[in-house]
Amino acid sequence: MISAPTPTPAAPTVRAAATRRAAEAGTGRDAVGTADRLRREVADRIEQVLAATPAAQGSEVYVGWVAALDAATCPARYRASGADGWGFPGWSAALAGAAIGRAALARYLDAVRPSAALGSEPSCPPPLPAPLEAVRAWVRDAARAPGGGVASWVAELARAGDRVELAAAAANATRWMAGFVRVVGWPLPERLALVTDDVDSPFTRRWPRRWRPPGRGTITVAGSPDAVAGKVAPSGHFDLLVHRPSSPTDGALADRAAFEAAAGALGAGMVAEHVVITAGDSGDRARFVVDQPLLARGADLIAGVVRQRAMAGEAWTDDDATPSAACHHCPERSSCSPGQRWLAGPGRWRAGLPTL
Amino acid sequence: MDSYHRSVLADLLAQPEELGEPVTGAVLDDALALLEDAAAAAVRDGGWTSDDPLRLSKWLLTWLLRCPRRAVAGPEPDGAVADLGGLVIGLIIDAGAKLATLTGRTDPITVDDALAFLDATGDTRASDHLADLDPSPPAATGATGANSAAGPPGSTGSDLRAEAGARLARLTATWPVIDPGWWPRVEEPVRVRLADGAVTLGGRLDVLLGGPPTGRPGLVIEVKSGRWHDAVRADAQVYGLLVGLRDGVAPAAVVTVAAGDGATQREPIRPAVLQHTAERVAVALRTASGLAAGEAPVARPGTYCGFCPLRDECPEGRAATKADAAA
Repeated sequence: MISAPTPTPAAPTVRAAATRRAAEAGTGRDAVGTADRLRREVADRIEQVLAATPAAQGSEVYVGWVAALDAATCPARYRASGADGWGFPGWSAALAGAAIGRAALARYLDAVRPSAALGSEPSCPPPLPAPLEAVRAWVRDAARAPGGGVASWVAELARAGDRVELAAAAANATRWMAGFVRVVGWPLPERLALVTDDVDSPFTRRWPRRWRPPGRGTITVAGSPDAVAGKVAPSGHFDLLVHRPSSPTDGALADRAAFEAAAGALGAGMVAEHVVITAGDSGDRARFVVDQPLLARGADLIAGVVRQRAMAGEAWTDDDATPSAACHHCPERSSCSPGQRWLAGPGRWRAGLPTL
Repeated sequence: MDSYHRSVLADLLAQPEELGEPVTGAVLDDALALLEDAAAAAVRDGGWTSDDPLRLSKWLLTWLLRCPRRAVAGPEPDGAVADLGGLVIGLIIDAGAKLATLTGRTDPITVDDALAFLDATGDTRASDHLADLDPSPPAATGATGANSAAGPPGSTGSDLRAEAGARLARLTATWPVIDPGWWPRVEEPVRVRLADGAVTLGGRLDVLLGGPPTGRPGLVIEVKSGRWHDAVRADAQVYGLLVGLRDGVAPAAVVTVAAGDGATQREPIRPAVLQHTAERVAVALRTASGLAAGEAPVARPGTYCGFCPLRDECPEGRAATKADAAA
């Protein structure tokens, strides 16, 4: 679905694995029926988890991408992360970058193309935005008339006169926007809507981010695409786009696509056609066809978070610890035997080289 | 800074045609091909994969070429840093330059501003160290951060603040207001995947201006807290290669601004520079593959030995340090 012209001289690299999957994709999709089945399957798996761990019933569980990655890569570390790791830690300059970048880009599009609407044919492309200026303009607006979400946090900073924290947030937002425009291309693809809290703009949409299994109001599954391309309709001919300033490893990249595919299907009740992940640092663009294996992996990731959060109420063990570079920062590193062994052995390697 | 240095950045931004035509096309293709070949060969011995790659940063690249033993020396015992004061000043200067880029402020950027910026970005090393040195710092430190409690140079947080403040004031007083059309970005990460991701060559730019899709030539600004020295040219060339491989067009130049002595150096990124830098990276890859395969790291002592974590146990380093002291 995303087929934007890329104005940069070097076409972004499409990773081989994602390309292979795209080539193998079938057609004849049933976007709504597939999402319905996924909802039932995930709900059933969550019920099984909760039935096996009665003490966990009623616990607040927030299943976002970060939790999914943590629980999948080292369940023991996820369980040890505590309330800060299990929920939304609150806005910070680092976390706000993408949200401000999306909102600022949408505001810019509103300003330069006031009559344009989603899906309309542009007569001429809008001028290229200047990211730092666009971010500053949005911050000024947010300070004057704060909306919800990240805008209210920005307004608080402005009221407090915290120009330095605002500058740090602006730095991240500018980097996000510049990378997004550079890699996705300008003008942006037609029918691309940025995901923001402000749905008044023709260039934005509120993504139905949250899904809760029936009767389980304390469990929230939340995807976090940055943009949606195409019409979100039962035909399923739409893509979810995620832009990251920095590239993940290939394994994490594929898992991110799987998580967004599944969480998006659960939230929207329709399965997207592709998940596209772009990276600002490398210019890479990986496109994943949303097929059964990808959705199954996404369902595993989601159920895995609920399982580990349920187990977190029990005594912490390191039985399923999976050591990695994250051990260096793990709150349980001093009490985790596998982690200690790894830190004393392979963990002494840094950046792919052994250390003396 | 004298008037020449003061005008270098502002003049370049006002007259970008002075930067010359950026390198594109076959030169970059050739550099990438050379690196892909070198990475593929290195991976055969190094055993890296896309999920556990060799992450070749500018720091690692520098030391693989300069002294392989230092490259694998690891951190100081207990995480200590040989020149912590220098690190703190460097962090403050970097942050100040970024704030100046982002805000275009005409009023001075203070040490406290820079520290707050670092804290907001999650880097509390400078604040933590200053707090350790002076548990009760002065209430207001002004633009220079100086106060009357200064002892021997570097012995107190006040000394560090004063030194950082003086350099910061010199730097930001000459920092130009940057037109938004230059797309000023700070801390821009750049990464090039080689050998299907089993090797990544990466860096983080202090300030990046222009480049695709702005229609203006790319310009990288690197900020050094100390004095200019010839090795910064090699750093600049690596950044030029990285951005060129990522964007398909190299930055026209990398400008290094040294806050310690006010030097401003413009490194044009010409075809020969890119070719030479790619060859240096290829050499580093060969060294890295040998180290990963178990080869003993060679020591190449130099003036840097005094700051090396292995300075007390490296015979070559000790000999070099002793010879330096005798001279």
